[in-house]
Amino acid sequence: MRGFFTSYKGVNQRFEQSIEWNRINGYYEIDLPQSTYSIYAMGDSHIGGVENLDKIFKNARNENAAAVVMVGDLTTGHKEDYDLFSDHLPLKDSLMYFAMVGNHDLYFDGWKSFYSIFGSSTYYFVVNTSDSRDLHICLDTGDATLGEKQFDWFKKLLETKRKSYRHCFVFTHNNLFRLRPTSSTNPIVEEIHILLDLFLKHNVSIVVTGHDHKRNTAILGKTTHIIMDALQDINDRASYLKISINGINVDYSFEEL
Amino acid sequence: MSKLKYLLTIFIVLISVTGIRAQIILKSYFDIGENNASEGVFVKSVYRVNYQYLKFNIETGMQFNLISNNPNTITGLDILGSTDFLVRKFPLSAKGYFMLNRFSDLMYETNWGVGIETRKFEHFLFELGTNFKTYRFNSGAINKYNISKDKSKLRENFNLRYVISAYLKPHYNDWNLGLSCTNVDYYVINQSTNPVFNFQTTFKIKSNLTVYLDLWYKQAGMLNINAYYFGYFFRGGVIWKI
Repeated sequence: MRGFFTSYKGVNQRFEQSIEWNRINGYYEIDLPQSTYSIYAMGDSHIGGVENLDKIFKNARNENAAAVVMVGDLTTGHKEDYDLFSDHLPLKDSLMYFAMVGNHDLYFDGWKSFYSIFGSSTYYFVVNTSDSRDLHICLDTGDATLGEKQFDWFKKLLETKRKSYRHCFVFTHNNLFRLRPTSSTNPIVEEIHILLDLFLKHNVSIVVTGHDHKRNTAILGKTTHIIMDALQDINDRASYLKISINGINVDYSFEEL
Repeated sequence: MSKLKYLLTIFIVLISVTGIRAQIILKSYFDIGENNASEGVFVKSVYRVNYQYLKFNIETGMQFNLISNNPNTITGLDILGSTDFLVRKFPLSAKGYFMLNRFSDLMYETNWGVGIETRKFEHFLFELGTNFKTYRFNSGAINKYNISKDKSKLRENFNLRYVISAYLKPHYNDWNLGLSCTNVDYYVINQSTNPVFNFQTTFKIKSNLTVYLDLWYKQAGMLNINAYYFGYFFRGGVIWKI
């Protein structure tokens, strides 16, 4: 019941811890010898079951994905779920992965477990190909808001860095739009307004989210908004997202499990 | 904008041709507050005209930006019409509305919808309805960013809108305190899963003049069961029956 009124550690506090983690550990750069690559994305695994989780990591490794991005609700927030999740993570030498929190990950004071396994939930990573560089931004919307501090960081990041990169992708847990009748909560509309403005001004290619558990896509301006299916084992239509980058072309597909 | 001019013309004509049984109400208020997306304090003012004739009611308003991160001066326009009726002695009011929110110099949002309201119970107000939201780029943005027409808007259909209000005193009392849970305001309609709370105080200074002060509090993620502060604002205004 507590969650109806407040969170254990709010997004501003998590953001500060994330930025501190980034300061110590830096931002990842993935160097690729070729010009094409793929990013696998998934969300809402809600561990419990790990069958689909193992499959996405296996497929990503077999198909030489540049990275797997996990957009939150990876667990139910319990420490034992985090421990189970951690046991199934690949070695970063074999497959790079990035994660951010969803609301379920934060239940039962789950941020402590998330932070101990993944560290930051607000950061960016860069993919350097043989002919260009792409910017991938990961945001924490576990509380259904970026919060004032993360908002400021995101705006400054786009203003200062975006122009140096070819494509820009944004990954976060909360879907922005209500594209079907659903009880999942979106950010408050004043926040959506500012985000839409930023996405247009800074030519964000794709915004990848989860949270709603059922895939949906919408294009607004230059930005494709993708809501992914839940990866959790009990979902009959579980899938993950494969984003393929080939020069200036960006394509995506839902890969069913 | 041409549609709006047309509606305003009808409104003025209606005022002119109807007789002494009509009632005109002027409303004005200021919003002062801040939120996670506002980059500091915002101040907005709104001016509204309400025209009542028998069981029919038409109202229109305009929102002006005084201080905010929105570059537009006029940030909101709306018009709503309603009519009162009885269903087996149960008083109801049916309404339809259109709202424009100019939230940036590149984009705007429109909402239209219908709803039903009742003040049957002296200490309560209930409203239920649906709205259709569209995010759009304006023509300047379409040209500047070379956006194709089919990618220039995004719709959200059949969003639930609701107002649940409880009052200390009956609706007709000279002063009152109230508490509301809603996802709608004049120029902002949130998704149904984002309830906003407001505490209301009203005081009738004269028979035709009422002042009020509201405090609105917004919490993000309440129905995610992981809520966090989003923002607040104060609203102070007057209602003048001419």
